[in-house]
Amino acid sequence: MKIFIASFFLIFSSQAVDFEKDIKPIFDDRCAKCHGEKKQKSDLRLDLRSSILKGGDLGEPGAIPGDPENSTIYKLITLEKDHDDIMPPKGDPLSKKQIALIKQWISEGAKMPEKEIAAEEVLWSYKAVTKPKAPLQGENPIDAFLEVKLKEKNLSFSQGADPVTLLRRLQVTLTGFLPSKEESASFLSDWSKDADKAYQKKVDELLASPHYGERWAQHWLDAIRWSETSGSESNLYRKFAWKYRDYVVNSFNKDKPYSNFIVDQLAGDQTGFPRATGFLVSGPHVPPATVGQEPSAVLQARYDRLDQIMQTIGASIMGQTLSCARCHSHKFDPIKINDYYSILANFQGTEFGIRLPELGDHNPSIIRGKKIMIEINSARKSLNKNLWLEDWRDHNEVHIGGQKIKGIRLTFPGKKVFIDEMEIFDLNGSNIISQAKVSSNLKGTRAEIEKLSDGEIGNFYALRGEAPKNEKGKVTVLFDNPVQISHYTFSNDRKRRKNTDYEIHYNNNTKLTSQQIEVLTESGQWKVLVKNSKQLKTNPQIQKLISRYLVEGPQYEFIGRFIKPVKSHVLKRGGPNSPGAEVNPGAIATITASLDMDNNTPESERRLNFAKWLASKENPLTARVMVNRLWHHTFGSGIVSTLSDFGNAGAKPSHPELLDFLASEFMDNNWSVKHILKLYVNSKAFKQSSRPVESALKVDAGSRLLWRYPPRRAEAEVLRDSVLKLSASLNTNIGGISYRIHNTKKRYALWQVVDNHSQTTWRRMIYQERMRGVDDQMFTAFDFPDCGQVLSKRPSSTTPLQALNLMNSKFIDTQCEILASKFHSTNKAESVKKLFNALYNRKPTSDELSTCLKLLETESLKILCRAMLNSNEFVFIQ
Amino acid sequence: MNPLNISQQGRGLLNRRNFLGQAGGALGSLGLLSLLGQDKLLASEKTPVRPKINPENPYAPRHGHFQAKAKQVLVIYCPGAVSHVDTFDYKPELVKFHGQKPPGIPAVTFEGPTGNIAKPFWDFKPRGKSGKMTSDLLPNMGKLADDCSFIHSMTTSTSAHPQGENFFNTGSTFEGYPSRGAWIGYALGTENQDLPAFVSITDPRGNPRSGKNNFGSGFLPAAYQGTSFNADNLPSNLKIPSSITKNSEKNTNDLLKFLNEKHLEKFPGDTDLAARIATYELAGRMQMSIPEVSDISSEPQHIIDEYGANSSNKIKGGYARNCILARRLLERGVRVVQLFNGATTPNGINNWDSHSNIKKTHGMQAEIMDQPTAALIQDMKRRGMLDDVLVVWCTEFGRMPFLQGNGTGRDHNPSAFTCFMAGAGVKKGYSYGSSDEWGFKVAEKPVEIYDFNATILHLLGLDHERLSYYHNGIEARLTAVHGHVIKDILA
Repeated sequence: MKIFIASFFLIFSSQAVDFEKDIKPIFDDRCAKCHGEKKQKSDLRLDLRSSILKGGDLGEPGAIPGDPENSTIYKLITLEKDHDDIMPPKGDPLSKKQIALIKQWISEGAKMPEKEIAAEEVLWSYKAVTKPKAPLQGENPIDAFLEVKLKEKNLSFSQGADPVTLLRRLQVTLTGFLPSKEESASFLSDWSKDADKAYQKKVDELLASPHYGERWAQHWLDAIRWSETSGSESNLYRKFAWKYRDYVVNSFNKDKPYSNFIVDQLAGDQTGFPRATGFLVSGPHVPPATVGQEPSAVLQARYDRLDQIMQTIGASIMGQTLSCARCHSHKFDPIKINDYYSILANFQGTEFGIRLPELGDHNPSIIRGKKIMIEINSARKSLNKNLWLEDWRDHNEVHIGGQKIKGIRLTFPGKKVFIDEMEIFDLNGSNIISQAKVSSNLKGTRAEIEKLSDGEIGNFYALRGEAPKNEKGKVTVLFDNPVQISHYTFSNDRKRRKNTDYEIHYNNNTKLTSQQIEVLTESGQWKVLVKNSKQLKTNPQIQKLISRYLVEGPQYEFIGRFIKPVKSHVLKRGGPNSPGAEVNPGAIATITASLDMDNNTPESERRLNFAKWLASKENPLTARVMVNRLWHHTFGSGIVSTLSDFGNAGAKPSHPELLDFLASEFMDNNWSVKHILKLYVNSKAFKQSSRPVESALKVDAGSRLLWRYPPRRAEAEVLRDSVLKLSASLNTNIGGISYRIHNTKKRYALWQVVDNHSQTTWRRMIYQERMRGVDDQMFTAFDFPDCGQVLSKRPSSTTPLQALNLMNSKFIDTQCEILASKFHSTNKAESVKKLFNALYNRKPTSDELSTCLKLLETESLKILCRAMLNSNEFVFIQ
Repeated sequence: MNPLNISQQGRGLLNRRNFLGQAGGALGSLGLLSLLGQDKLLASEKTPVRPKINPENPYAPRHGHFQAKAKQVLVIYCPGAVSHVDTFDYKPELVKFHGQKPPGIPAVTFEGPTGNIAKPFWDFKPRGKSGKMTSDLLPNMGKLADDCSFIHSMTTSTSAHPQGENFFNTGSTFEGYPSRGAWIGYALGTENQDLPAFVSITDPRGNPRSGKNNFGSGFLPAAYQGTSFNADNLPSNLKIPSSITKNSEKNTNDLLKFLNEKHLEKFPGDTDLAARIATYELAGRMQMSIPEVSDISSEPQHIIDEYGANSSNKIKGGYARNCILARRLLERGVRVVQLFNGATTPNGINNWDSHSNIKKTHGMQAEIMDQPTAALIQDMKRRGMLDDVLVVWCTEFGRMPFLQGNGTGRDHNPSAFTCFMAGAGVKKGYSYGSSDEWGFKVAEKPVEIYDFNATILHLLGLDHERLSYYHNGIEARLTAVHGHVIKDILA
């Protein structure tokens, strides 16, 4: 329904320009075609004062009453004739007289009659969630809502599924595994006594299983295209990124309220769950070296990274395609370009990279780290020396035993010098290099001395230069007054070692290159400490402790880092070099006008405030999007089939009232995911048969109305995990570092799958190394995502490559051997029965048994396993 | 011809139940969901044309949007960026300004400071009847000038290789978009049901920098992913395991059919189940046809010699065999063949990237590419294949007319470079657009990657504005929201 706002007020003054008479004809003739009632290019319409004052996608007011010179409209109509941006873009420019009239009109306040316009209809998903009453019929409210729609089409639920089918469906849905023959036997025995009680018991058992968290974490990781590599050319491994995966698995297992789950992921550094911020950096990013040297490209890459964060949040939590508003206001949805940059401003201080997680004092790694440091310090004291080297893997430390000095000078034998960071520590353990004057004799475009001590590590932020002719490269650090120095640190590229792993280092960038080290004594004399730093010795005892610290102490993890935010602007047409109006950190304005922040709000506060906005019960999107996501993974298709797009271009809810009921139910029950899932799997809709019915197929071929349970092909993980489980090969440990299937590689080489089948890989697939854009040679064919683009809903395709992989891969070949030996029996019929029970949870029919026995006359049991693992009964969840 | 191309077995089962027509599974409805039914959204724009995909066989040949000039496409892709000013874009001014740094040259480009103008590292000569000036770097390909439409005004929006490859082959600089070949297979299916719709022939040295992006299906169903192999390395898992005899393989398949048939009886009318049965038959046929098509031993000696397949340069020999494979695939009706000349490997430069010593690097690549590629195009021409096959030769960007930091190489140039098309539907002996006097920036008729891809789709009978797939809030296209068909090069 359109709502009309009618508010007339006309303001005219005697000598003033008359809008109706003087201005409107110009607008109508030259502008209205693109900026009028029908079409609003750049989201601007000149028939509405409010739109003129607000302006369009440039993010600036179109007219500032009283200030024509600074008004965009005036600026654009007065550009040179052949300027790219001149308005109108076609035909002659406006005449001098017309321009003068518009100028006067703006000076006089840009007054015009307010116009009756139809208020934009509120997008359905932006309307507040209200809990509808469930229709009376049916026990489970879900069924009641569904039945209303079914009746409209003369459809009804199918009969209940048989217990074996139901168990397989339930167990796959909740934990991602097919049931073993023992599990099915015990369920069937319970079922025969009391079907309802047996089912309840199973639901509770599965929801309490630690494998439940793994299953649902998988779905969440898909929604944010989480991966352990950066993508792009070097596609480097992100060290310790898996700590985020553990956080997600644990959160689902503990049934952490979804609202808290959101806040952790945006601001876990402030909630005691620092690893959760791995969420923010789940998308791909292009490392600086691949972006190149041009400043505009460097800035573009920064905003590309921020856009990845926007995509992650938009797709997973908000169900909004925020990125569409990066260059212009959203074409379909009420997201203005200002909204995009307002939301982005919340993350203006977020950057892809590593940080030390904010672990409390009681965290074991902190305690262990402190203990080892005490041992290191006492070992240092007992050395009783004033010159030694410590190798900290990513950097070196030259210890000078607390000598009181006025400066340090490093002289390099070669001409080229390359240092990413140098720190100088006093006896209190403070880095005091910022108090010193640092200089060098190096030349070259990248010989920027401030990079030596800018706190930024990595070769992109390195001081690199060449010494002038006939000179050696020198770096000098001078203090005004003598200070007692414990040690200085030095590295070429210390980021690399902290950042990544499984990379073959073609040279060791962290080692101290040969250099002469001198100190400036208190009396002002340069004293050579060592002529060639390569002669410096490390101490075995200290090195041993350092090695321990680097394993047991706190580590840098790829969970994002935080930087000082720059001021946020709308970027005109998305161009980082064309800043428009300043914007404050905020939200989608049509939902919440302001979050009461500005460009001075500290970056941590911004993330926290925005997260709280997302996680609030007033937010109309958050609960709807999540219950719908859970619905999709339970029933095969969402109530809104476009899980990450609750906008006008997405699908409309098939059962809008049900969706709101569920969203309310979710929030009323402390955002408990388990509560909602329990409701789902206890519905008649879930428990019914999946058998096709000819008459129903005619009406609803996709089973969207749920007259049957929609069958589906098992996903990649379900297949792999189930095969391993049923062959009793699976290592069921929860969490931890990924199992490896790839090689170690050089920086610019591609990852190659070297072993995706042997025993080291027999863990659940959620723990398989997720390398972005790499075919795992087995399950990519089963729509396992490549993690390049957000993909909350995997396609489900059927391809011959799947057949080849499931028939011929080493993984299946090995598993068939194991299954065959596990279920082997001297009595062939017994073997067949065992195998049917293990893989299908049922007995073979008599003709199945006789066909299999006939096969076994010439073939081994392995061949039977091979056929069964490839069969539709195994691969489809009915 | 059976329009459905469904397996005999699956078909029989379905016919028995007489369900076909109304049956539909949640899984099978690839791309059939019409999400943008809301006319208001698209009132002013072209509406998407959804390919009518039978879930039973997603590869069945389909009609395009209009009559196609080309039925198939061969894309020869040169990773690393080929220098246009040293190959096909003749710039005599470079000789004149050699060693100078005239105004207008920027201080810094992709890899760092710029140097002086450098004349072409190889001499240019007129070729063919058209007298097209091409360099001695690629003499054999130069001889084909009369068959080609050169586009000298290519531009791209990135100076980095992986993003450049992504852009060229997926229409986006970002990761994870569907490749061109995947889009075409999705729209048109393929003629030969025994071979994949889209084959990506890897360089003998390995994959290009963006790896799978170049032939991946992105957010399209995995069915449309390119199958990646070459003449010397067949797809993984194509061969049955060594522990399984031929007889056991047959027995496995027989039992599998039996089990699936029993299962399907319980779920009559579920096309997803029948579709999966059919893929096993296609897989079986691929196990025969891929080794057959890849085995070039039946090719006569004069063909082997013409392509250089027995070259003492092992990489050239491998690439030449890949060229023969490309022809054999196209002869058998494969819809899209993408042939790579260059790779990224851990051991130094193995593609056209030439920041230093361009003489050596481009020389090495040209030695591998020139003779086999020219032979491939000639051979296809002799066989009349160019009536149906569009041939595209391309690279992610060009190289600078000046030296990089006064060294011995040229830096990346996204602002002007050259690609060519030949064969079905394009003009012969034609040049389109131009770069400026140095080949530094486009002077006339700029062609964006979007335009280039729009033109390829057009020649295949597809309107790039109507070939879309709903993804994350938009009707995603190979050409995003851009692209104009380069009408001038159409025959």
